[in-house]
Amino acid sequence: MKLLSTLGWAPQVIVEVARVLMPEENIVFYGYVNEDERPRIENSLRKVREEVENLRVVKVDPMSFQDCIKKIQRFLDENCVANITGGTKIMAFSLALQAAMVGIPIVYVVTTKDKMRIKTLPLLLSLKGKNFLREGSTAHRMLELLLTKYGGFAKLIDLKRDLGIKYSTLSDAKRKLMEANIIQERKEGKNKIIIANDIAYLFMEGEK
Amino acid sequence: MRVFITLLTLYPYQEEDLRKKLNLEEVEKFWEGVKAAKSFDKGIVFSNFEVEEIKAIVENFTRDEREAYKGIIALLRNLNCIKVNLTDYDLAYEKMREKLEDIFDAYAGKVDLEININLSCGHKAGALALYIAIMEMIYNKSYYRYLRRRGRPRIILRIYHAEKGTISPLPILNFENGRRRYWEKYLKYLKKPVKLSQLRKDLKKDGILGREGDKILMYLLRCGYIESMEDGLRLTEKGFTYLQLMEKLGKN
Repeated sequence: MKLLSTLGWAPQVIVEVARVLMPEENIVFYGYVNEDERPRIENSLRKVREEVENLRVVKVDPMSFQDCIKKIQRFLDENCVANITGGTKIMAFSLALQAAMVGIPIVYVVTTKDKMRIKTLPLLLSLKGKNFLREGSTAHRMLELLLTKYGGFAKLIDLKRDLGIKYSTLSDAKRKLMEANIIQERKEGKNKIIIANDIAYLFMEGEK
Repeated sequence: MRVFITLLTLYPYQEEDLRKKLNLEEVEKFWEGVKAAKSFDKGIVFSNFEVEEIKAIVENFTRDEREAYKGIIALLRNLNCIKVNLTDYDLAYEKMREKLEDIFDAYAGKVDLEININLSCGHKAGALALYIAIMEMIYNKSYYRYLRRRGRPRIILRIYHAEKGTISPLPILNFENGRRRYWEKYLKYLKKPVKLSQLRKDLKKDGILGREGDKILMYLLRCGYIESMEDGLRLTEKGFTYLQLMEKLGKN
């Protein structure tokens, strides 16, 4: 078992889950919002280093979905459990949503009167119905191209040319991605520009 | 109908510096969330505290905190403030889902409904509960068709995290709350590879017969917890991890 955890000001929530689950590997994601917060996070990290074995720490930008998602992706596999108790909401959401998409268990710690309880979070991507973002679908190919070739910012006409598909097919995929809050469209003169939202990186294969 | 939904908490810690920092940040995020929603006809706030409780608690805080919450308290009086335990996912989810059902029953498919949801305030468990509750409303209750931008009446859903001037949208996807099923517990019968007939016998011992057993089997297969092999079924790596987790939490 590999335990992925997001760290904030409270090291106990990381230490406790590691103590109970005894994973072979602990990956802790940490980061500070600003310099004022740095000493608290470093102190928290020091305590985790003292008490958790087989530890690897990964620094993230705690305010960026894109950075958190990309870094978490590198470690995520079917052997993982995600602990989302610590860190910023952006860190925790990045880990929770990716865990739900892969289908790995999510845990969090509830503290009441100094007593910690580990609870599971029943979040999953529905198994019912069609997934318009399944691998190989136009929407998935469009998104992949937008993120990998164009860095998240491309003219619609360039995407059409690269994908070699009809405008109506591309337009349908674009609409679905926009409705899902994954991309946005802007007009610049006669050109339609497609911009990936940070959360779009959820749907990319991470660099292992 | 334009609806704005947000979370809100208050940190009552003893350590003044820490408490003040967290409370001032909470207030800032609250207003950023309100600003991102622009205008609204109906406002719903899920909070750990009632308005009067917030008012009473901040009385003992620093002047800065009192001033900061003053504006929020004034606004809360005109909104629907619902007390929820934002640190417990299950409790928060139930209440939020109930409230969202009321809204959707009243307006969805009848008039244009615009919902802006701010997830930057409150606690993580509560924020995730609200996110999943709205995703379930959209996908499991077939409101998805109203999200299409052409045609009327429609639903416009904006769900975001707003902090330090950045608004980060969250995806609108078919995530769901899996709490309705406890079928993962049957993974215990697959610690070693088993024949299908043996698994059926084991399930029968738990009172699970016929089609119910098939449903459980299909669910475990579709989740990727188990896989077929030549002579039966076995756990996948994902299934093994899940089983390990349940055993270790059981021992805790």
